[in-house]
Order: sequence, then C-alpha cells, then structure tokens
Amino acid sequence: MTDDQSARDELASAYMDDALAPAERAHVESDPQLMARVRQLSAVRAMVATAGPAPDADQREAAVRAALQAAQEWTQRAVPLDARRQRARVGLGALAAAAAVVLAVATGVAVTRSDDHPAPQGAAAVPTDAGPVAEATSGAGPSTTIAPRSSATTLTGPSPGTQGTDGAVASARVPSAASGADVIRIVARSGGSAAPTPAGAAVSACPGPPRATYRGRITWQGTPADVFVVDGRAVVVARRGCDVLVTVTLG
Amino acid sequence: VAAAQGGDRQALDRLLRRHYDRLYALCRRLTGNDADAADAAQDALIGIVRGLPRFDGRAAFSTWSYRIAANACFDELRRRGRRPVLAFPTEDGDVALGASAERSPDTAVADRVTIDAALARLPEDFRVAVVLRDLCDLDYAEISHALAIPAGTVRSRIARGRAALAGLLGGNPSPTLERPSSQP
Repeated sequence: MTDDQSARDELASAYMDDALAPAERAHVESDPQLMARVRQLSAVRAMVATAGPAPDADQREAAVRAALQAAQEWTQRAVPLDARRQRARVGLGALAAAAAVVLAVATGVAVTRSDDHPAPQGAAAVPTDAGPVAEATSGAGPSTTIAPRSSATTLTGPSPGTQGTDGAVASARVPSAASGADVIRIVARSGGSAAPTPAGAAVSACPGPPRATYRGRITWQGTPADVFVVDGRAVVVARRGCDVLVTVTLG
Repeated sequence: VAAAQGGDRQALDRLLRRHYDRLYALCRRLTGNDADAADAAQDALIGIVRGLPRFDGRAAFSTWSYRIAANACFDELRRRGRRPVLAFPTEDGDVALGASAERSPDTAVADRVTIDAALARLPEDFRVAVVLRDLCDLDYAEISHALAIPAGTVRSRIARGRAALAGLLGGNPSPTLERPSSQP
C-alpha cells in the first residue's frame, strides 16, 4: 500500500468517524474516488459492528460469581494504598538501613538520596551488580528496568546535555534484607529516538492509581508487572491480578 | 460505580452484570472464538473488581473496563500461545472453527472469510483499535485514553486496519501490515 493510498484511506476513515476539519471534509466529498472508498470502509465497519451472539447465561453467571469471589478475597487481603505505602516503608526500613532514590526527567536531572547512600547529581552511570532482568519500552515514553536484589552503590542520571538516545534516567533503590537493593530505573526517552513499541507494551493490564502515569512493563521478581508513577512514587502492579507488588518513593 | 467502590456488594454485582455482555462482545471480536472470549471476559471482570478501588472517573467506566478487557483478551491469547482462531464459512454457510492463522486460505478464497477471520489476521494493535471504534463505539479520544497512545496514532491504526479488512473481505491480496509504532 502506497503512502498516498494510506493517506487517502486515513481521510476516508476519519470522514466516517466525523473526525475531519470542515475543509478536509469538503475535500473528501468533492472526490468521487474517496467517497467510494468511504462506502467500502463503511461496509467493513458495519460488519465489525455486528455483535455476535449473546453470551451464554451460565457463562455470565459463572464469570460474575468468580469476580465476586475474587472481590471477597481481595477485600480480605486488601490494604488501602496509603497503608500499603506506609507498610512498605516500615518493612523496608526494618530490612535495610538506607534507601537511595534518584529521579531524573527527560530534560534534566533531579536527585534525591538517602543519608547513607550519596548519589551525586550529574553522574552518568547506573551501575548495579546484577544488572536488569527486564526492560520494557513504551513507544516514545519511558522504559522501565528493574534489577534483582543487588548491592547497587550508585544510582544516578545523566547530566543535562549529556544524555544519549535513551534520554535521562530516573532510578529508585528499594533496600532489601538480603544483599542490598532492588533497583527501579526509569529511562525517559526524548526526541524521536524511541524504539518501536512491542505488542501491547503501551497498554497497562490494570488501571493505575488515580492520576498515575503509566511507565511500562517490567518483571518484578518473576512476576510480569506494570509500573506507574504518581505523586513521586513508583507503583509496581502485577499484570495478572492487579496486586500492588511494591511502592517506591521517588525523589 | 461509586457504591461498588464503597464496598456495596449488590452494587458491584449489578455493575458486573450490566457490563458483562459488552465486554464479552469485545472479547469475542478480539479473540475470535467463544471459549477464549468467555475466559477473557471472566478475567476482565476479575481485573475490574481488583482495579475498582483505583478507578478515578477520569474516563467513563465503560472505557476503563474496555481497556482491562482488551488486555485480558491479549493475555489469554498469549497464554495459549496462539493467534485468534479463525472462523471460515463452509460450503453450506455454516461456520467451522479451528483453522489456524498459519493455515489461512490464499487469496482465491479470501472473500469467503468471515469478519472474525479477517480480524484475526490483523496485528492486535490494529484489531483492538478498529474493534473499540466500530463495535464499542468509542471515539478517538476515548480509545487514545484506553490504549495510552496518541489520538493521531488511533486514527492511523483504525484507517489502516479498516483498509486491511476491506482487502481481506473483498478477496484482495491482504496488505502487509507491519507492527505499528506508537507514532501516528
């Protein structure tokens, strides 16, 4: 399909959806070939719009029962997000002595760090002992990396003007009892250098917290998860089940 | 929705029943068969229940629930390691289920494929955009929100998806659709 044909199809398609400016609309209506294409695509739309048979009543009943059962289990286990956050802080605080947090934005670097793990602003490396176990890229958005438990010692973002195609880096380290820290690193891509979007990568499996920004997919200790950022926190949510796995304070 | 969020079990029951058929219809189109659609729709309801405390009302509940359902559908397909099952009409007009995408017919019989079969041949990013628009009647902004992609990308994917379907349903050689980027 040529670029020209694609452009004409997009015009015809947007015309059907009433998504054109008046001038574009007039252009389509004055072109018999475009109007013929509109009729073709409208027939396709009608086929897609025809819903199949209604679901079986037993299926519906079973699905609703399963969801209500899940709700009951969820309610018994659920703790409000703020409480989870508090609990995570307390638990993590008991497990390790310190946390280092680095947050960088695409055009600059902002650094917050704990008392005992200095993280110099403007340094360029993000060394960890174990390296990332997963990385997800969300189109032109940021990518997210979570490293396994490690003894990361320096978590920084590049200084303004030195970032490469990956843009700036935001990282947060979650202290752990075993040997150091889990590392959440968010790479905010800038410009047009983003890699192609993996299938579905731009879509979170679960809704994030209110006002949260979706940051991409990761694997958190073997569990596929989504990362959201809201109010200076990174919230890691299991893609299956939507459980909050960990909440990390950034900056 | 607010009552369900507040823990009213009856409200939650009503909410789930009210939306189940729409979600099932979406899943039926995205998975291409009844069994996967039923499983995915059930997973979607569970996802809704678990995500409900975080639903903030920025989008309509239906838009939000479609997003969860679409992800449940694709997770279901990935879990089973396959593309949507195709449905081809038989000589007597019935629909036979079970042919795989890999054994899809050549263009000589492409005009006989059903809309499910044609949809199954679209990359999922195109398929979900077209189905959310044409079956679920979401506008570009709502789809943009549901899929977390720019509205321009939505418009482009819908147009390319429809054009590809037109080719498949009309018996024309199926156009090559590369996996879309997030750019319009």
